[in-house]
Amino acid sequence: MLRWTIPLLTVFALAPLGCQREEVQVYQAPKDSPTPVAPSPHAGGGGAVPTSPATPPWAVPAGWAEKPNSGGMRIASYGVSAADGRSVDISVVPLGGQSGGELENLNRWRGQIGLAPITEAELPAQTQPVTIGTLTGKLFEMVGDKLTLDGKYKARTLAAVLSLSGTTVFFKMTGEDALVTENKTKFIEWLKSVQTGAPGAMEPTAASTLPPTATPAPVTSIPPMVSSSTAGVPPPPATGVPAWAPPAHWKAGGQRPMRLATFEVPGGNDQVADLSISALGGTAGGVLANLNRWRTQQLGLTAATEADLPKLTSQVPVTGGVATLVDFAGEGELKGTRMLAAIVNRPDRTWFFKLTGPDAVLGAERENFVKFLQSVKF
Amino acid sequence: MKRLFKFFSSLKLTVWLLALGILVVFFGTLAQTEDGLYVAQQKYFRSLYAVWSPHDPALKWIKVLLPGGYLLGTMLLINLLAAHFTRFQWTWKKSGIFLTHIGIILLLVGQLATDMFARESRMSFAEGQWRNFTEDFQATELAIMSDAGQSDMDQVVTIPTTQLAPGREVRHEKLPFTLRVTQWSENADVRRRGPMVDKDRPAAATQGAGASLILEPTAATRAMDRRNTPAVVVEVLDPAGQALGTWLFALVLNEQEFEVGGRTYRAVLRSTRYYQQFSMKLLKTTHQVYRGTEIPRNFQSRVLLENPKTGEKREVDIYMNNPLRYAGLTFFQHQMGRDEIDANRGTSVLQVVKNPSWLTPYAGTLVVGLGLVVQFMIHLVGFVRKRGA
Repeated sequence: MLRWTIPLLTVFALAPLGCQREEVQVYQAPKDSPTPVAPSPHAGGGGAVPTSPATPPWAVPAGWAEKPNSGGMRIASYGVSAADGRSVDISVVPLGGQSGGELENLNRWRGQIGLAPITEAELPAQTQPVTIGTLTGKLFEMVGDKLTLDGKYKARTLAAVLSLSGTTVFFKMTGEDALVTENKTKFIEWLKSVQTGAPGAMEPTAASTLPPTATPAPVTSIPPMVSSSTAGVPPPPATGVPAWAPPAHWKAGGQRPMRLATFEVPGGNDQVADLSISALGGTAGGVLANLNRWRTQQLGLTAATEADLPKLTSQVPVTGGVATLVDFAGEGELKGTRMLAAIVNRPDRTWFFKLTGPDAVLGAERENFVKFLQSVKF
Repeated sequence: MKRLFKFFSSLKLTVWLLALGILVVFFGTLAQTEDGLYVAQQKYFRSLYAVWSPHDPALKWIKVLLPGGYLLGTMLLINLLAAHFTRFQWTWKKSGIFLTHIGIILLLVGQLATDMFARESRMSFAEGQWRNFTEDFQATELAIMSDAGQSDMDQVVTIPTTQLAPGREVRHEKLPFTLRVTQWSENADVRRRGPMVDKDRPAAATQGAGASLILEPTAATRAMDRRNTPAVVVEVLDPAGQALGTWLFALVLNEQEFEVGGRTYRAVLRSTRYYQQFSMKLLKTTHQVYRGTEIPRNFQSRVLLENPKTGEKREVDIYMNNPLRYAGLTFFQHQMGRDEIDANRGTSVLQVVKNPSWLTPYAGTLVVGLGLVVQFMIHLVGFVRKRGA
């Protein structure tokens, strides 16, 4: 009898190990909150739903005139002007990642209307909660103490910041003190009307995707509507390198990570500059963020502010648009290094052409670079 | 029959099986460079057979047929049982061997149980957030939610994405519609459709968010620290078989609504969720590194554990080498970070392991050890007695 013991015991032990198959399950679960829902094409009898990018995912208050998109970091601009020349500017800017931190942003806005910066300790006193769509954002209000507008008026800024996972959206109204105050109720109502779940409403920038080792975004916060599965990787080459005409002496380089194409640009004394061409989805963090990344990390320069942009950039016409051109010379240890870069915003992605190398080479190649840029058929 | 029995109970078979086991471990380890851990595990160890080929494309014609882990394990078990059955005679003298064999069987069966029942998932939250579910890191599901009658509850039907092969139709008694899968990608990028660049490419779907998006399938990743972002396009057919349009669901997209028969459904493709009977709230994260380095010294999550069933409500600290064991689950501190937006808010990821048979390897090893000691002592005592006599 005992010789049966072990085999029998084994069979009993194995019995529960039936084949487990993944199957459809039904259960009740608490609703996720707050999870905004993409609008239903059938809701309300199936009709006008703001799925088209042309319709903004919010209700534009009466009296606000839509301004043409300047092509910068803004996804929408509105304006209010009074008969006597006073005006108010309203903008929506989504940015990827941390976007410079709350205090930095607040102090930048304060600087724009002539106020002194505040410290971290003073921040809470300046912050109020505000409803943005189904979520809660932070509202900052500040008024200038000098007559900065045309020497006649004080400026006031209202800024609402909505933190989504991976993206921060800035809603900002700035302009003449009294006119901004007049429009404050509209601004607050407008924020409430934002459909935080509308497709592509707050399209994140490429910089917003996480590196693979980072903590996954908390689940109840809204994931970005559209993002790339791998951090910062350009769209697959299948979507195309455009046709272009490089100068004969430029040598095509091999495949490099993150780049769509590379050229080696030779100069005198065996010096070589490197031209990298890449494209990122969306606005790729905006011009300023990219410029500052290059300035601080690659050229030993200090970060620039939005106010410096007009001085630092120039515009060059290219096929189907305008390229924003910068020309930076390195400092400190990087003296002698120069960077000539162009950023071209296309509807689907942002192109970067970056020529880096010895000052002498770049000086000689500047004209070729611009010509090449203008040869690109996007 | 006798010959078959003899074959299965032979010691030669044991030696062959163990040798093949070494080979499978060897090739299965090599395959991880190409397949990654999870796929290699499935291919070589959770299978009946496997075929190994070198990584080099020029040598791809080389194929090595190997028995899989399941086949080897089953054969070893049969071998052990058959040997036991044919040769075993109960005597005190052999009680040590008896115990050792029980221990080995325990190890084999326990490993199989671990393999089938163990489940790894994660719980990720930011300070102040509650969680009552964990999420699978690999598996994804299409969840279809509708109001359950109570205001704060949903009826959820989840369809594992393994069932979403193109052309398949999914029906369920709780759903008054049929889902017909028109496209499935294990890994895909989803991007906005550019009116100019994509003028010759149709949008991914006709309804919902997909109507303004383009789906770009990409190669599936096998790396352990990456995950695939699957996407599926389904056509919804109402009870009459009338097509209501196609919808795109992807891991990177939010919930989308659609209406069938006057009832609103919400659907989302998400990491497979395992709901629990209790909730946890992340209270505080502590992230310390050794001074002047990035080497972690202490990652600690303080969580509030609440179980309405048992009335439990207590605070627990989870940190390195101090996991929380609760309700058959083990919570390990896994990752820690700052909230992307609000840098003052800590986030934490706990690795959650469910392994009902986690004790069997310990028990098995103990029994084997005991058996060996007993057997040795029996011999020793016999020897000493003989010598004394």
